[in-house]
Amino acid sequence: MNHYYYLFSGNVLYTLVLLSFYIFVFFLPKRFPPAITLIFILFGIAVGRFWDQVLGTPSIDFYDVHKSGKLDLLDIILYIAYGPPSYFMIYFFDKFKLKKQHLIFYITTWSLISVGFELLGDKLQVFNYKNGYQLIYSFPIYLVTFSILFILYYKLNKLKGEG
Amino acid sequence: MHWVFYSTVSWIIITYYITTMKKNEIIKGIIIYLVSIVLISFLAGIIVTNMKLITVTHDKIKYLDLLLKRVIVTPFLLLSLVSKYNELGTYLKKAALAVLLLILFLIIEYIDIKMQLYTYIKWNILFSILLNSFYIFTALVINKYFYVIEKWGEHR
Repeated sequence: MNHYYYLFSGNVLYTLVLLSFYIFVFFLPKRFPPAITLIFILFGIAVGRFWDQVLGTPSIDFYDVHKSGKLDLLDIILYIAYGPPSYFMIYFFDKFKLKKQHLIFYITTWSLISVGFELLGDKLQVFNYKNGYQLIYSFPIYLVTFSILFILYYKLNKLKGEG
Repeated sequence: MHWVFYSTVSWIIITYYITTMKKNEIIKGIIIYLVSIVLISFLAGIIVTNMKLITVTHDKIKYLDLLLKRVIVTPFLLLSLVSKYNELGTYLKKAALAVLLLILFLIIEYIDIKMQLYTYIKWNILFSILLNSFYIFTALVINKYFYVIEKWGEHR
């Protein structure tokens, strides 16, 4: 394969653009201690990989990432690129001092944005759905995942308050 | 039977950790937990799907047990290790604890093979020792150098 064509293929660009969001993580004004920032970033990576293990397992096999069923370097980079979105989600919630009453709207909005990104990924053949899986099934998964993220956020806030 | 075993073991390990953990180590514990599950899942993916050294079960319930092992049993055992490790005075005791955990991981793996959660193709116990030692080493490194992350925040 021509290496230049590969570098500019849709799925590679998608992954690299997502990865570039780490630049914003470094340059945005800091709102949390580094350990807490690291937790939110790791959460995104861990949960992304977790759901792929659950839904992409051979016995269920709802989708493949980047066409192959294998875990190659581009897949690993994509999982690492899941870190910044979960950080931004908490960052902007904290920055704009949103309250618990706003959570339903906020999480729903972010879930819709995530589904939008996933749709783009589907068009660029980052995600290849199989065995009846549809994009819309990801929406409640995002709702649950982001809810857990906010439980973590509030627990860490409480710890900070007690510390 | 395997589901009962794994869900019971998961409950015991989580409850043990939660009842013995120290409040000032929660943040470090969360980082160790998240790093563990990322490492375990990436390495499992490479070993199973890329290198085909192990085949995993296609049975959905048994695969759930395998997920429990990767997401709960192994990471929480590592957390318990770190928690106890910090309490022990001498390096001999710390080393003994790490070796005990390694033996426990191997016993769990033996049970997994018996329950047919996965099958060795080109894998053997030596690789398991190396892999689990790597997990233990990673957890202990994060435990030792966590203060670097905390200090980094103070100096900025």
